Amino acid sequence: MTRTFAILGILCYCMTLSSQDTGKKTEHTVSFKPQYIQIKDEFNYGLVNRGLNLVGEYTLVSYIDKNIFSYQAELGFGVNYNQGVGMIWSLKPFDLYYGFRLNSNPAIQITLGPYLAGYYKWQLYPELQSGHMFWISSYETGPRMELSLPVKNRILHISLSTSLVSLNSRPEYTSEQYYYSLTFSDFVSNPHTNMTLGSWNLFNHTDLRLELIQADKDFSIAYEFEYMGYFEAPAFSYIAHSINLNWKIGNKKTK
Amino acid sequence: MRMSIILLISLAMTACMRDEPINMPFVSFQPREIGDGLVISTPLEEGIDPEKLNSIYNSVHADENLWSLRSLLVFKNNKLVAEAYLKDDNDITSRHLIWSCTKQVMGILTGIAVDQGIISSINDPLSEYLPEVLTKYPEKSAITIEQLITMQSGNDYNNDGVGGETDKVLRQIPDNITDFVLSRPMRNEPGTDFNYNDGDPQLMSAVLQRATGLPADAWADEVLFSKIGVGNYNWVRYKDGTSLGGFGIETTPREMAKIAMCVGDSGSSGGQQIVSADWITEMTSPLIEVSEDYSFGYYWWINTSRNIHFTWGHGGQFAFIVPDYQLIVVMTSLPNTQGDYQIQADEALPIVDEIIKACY
Repeated sequence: MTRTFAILGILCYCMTLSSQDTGKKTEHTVSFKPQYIQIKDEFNYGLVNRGLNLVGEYTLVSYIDKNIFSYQAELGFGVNYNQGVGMIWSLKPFDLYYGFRLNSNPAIQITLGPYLAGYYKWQLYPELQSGHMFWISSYETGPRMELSLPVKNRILHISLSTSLVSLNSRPEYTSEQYYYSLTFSDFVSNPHTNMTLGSWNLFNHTDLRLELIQADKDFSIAYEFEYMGYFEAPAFSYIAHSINLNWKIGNKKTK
Repeated sequence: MRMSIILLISLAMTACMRDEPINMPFVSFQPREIGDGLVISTPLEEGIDPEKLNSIYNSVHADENLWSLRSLLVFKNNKLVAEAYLKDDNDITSRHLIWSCTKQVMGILTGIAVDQGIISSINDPLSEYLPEVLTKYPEKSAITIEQLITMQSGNDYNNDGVGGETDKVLRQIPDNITDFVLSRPMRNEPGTDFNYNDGDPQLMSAVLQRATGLPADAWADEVLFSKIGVGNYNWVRYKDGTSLGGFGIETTPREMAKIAMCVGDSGSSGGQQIVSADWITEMTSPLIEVSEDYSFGYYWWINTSRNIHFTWGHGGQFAFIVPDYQLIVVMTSLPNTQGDYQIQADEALPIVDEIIKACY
């Protein structure tokens, strides 16, 4: 995992440097995302836990010629409820996207390309499941389309992605256990066990983001919808509605 | 394009999920024959009003306060007359955690050990069975077997919460569970106060292991389970090889009923005396008054006003024995619920009351 992070870091750094060298624009954005989430885990008796999730996100975007490269990472924590309180921790260590410009109209920009992302979600339901930890993790790739179009004096930016192939980990579907373990190493190792490769027969993760951007303003607001579904036993579904508050930081144009 | 975008946003913003029904619809309480040795009969033949029983099952299925209930089985005259699995029909044979009902099994095993002379007397001190480990804890040497089986050791062991000792055991933090239990300070003089805890039966497990030369689970299979037809179970050991004593058995409601029937039959099963009738009488006697409604025998719970003795496991695992009516009622529940989400005896006993009322 450390190696993955190192490679990703170097990759992002190189992309940033190369974009600066060639005179292309690089943007850094931090986002605060309050989310209304719904989680349904077969392990938790098919109950839908609903609650609030708070997510912090970092985004780097490099415009390379007409194309786009982006890197995103996020960290979140939430509390939810249904017949007892639940907790969820989420981590997206990387989300890499390379988008190819599909049109030449400067007013409406459309890019399409592959994304590669990693997600981890850990859940605890202390009132219903004692100290037993549940999780879903996903390494996934699929298409993403980004569209920017003018709306009055603003720009509406739409991003839509859906996973096509994924590698997922879920807790094993076995009988109940007396013993449980909640060490840091369990949080790291558990979501890398029992990995299963699949496509839409196994897993789907779809993300829709609509952002309203005002020119020359560093602040923007977005609505984001996220769906994650794991369809084999033990099944898992997750829906998040977010209002994203985004701030561009330290941006510069070298030409 | 605008219409597509609006449609996409509308679909996304209205997306929501619904709970799965927590219980299956109630269809019938007719028991199934699965060849596990239980005798099946009908309520009518055994003297229970089937209409009233049907009404009880319907109301239990519909009761939101009992949403975590997993099974309800009724035995009359040692025959299974009604059973229903609220979550999954496979629970008829699927093993689940019965938590502290393990303690009541420890009570029976202690009786068998006394009957066989493996434990010469319940007044024996702990030092007679665990001399090596007690050299480190001399203040515990005088604790007797009787104090262990009545939760009166005085050892300060706490079952509850993240800081409790049971949490450490469940996370397998200590290397040696017997040493871990004994290393707790004393909370009071042995024999002076009742403290319901998982430590005392854990020490009893260590005593049985030392006295019999086998972990309690292996010895139980030899002297109890194999003789009463209990085969569908697993008894979890700690990492040091000691059987868990305060909890640890995973089994089915039907197998729990076989244990209850043996106790209800004064320790006999299939014409064989498994544990002496005298021990059963003592074990299920109200030796310690825990509260107005509940007393404690040798690891067994007693509701004196109803003359019911029963097993009681975390979450809501029960086998109620009603000697006056030759009735046994088994209830199991989702096992890992905490606090108010558990089914307590106060909620389960009124169901038994209703079943008693349905008896002719």
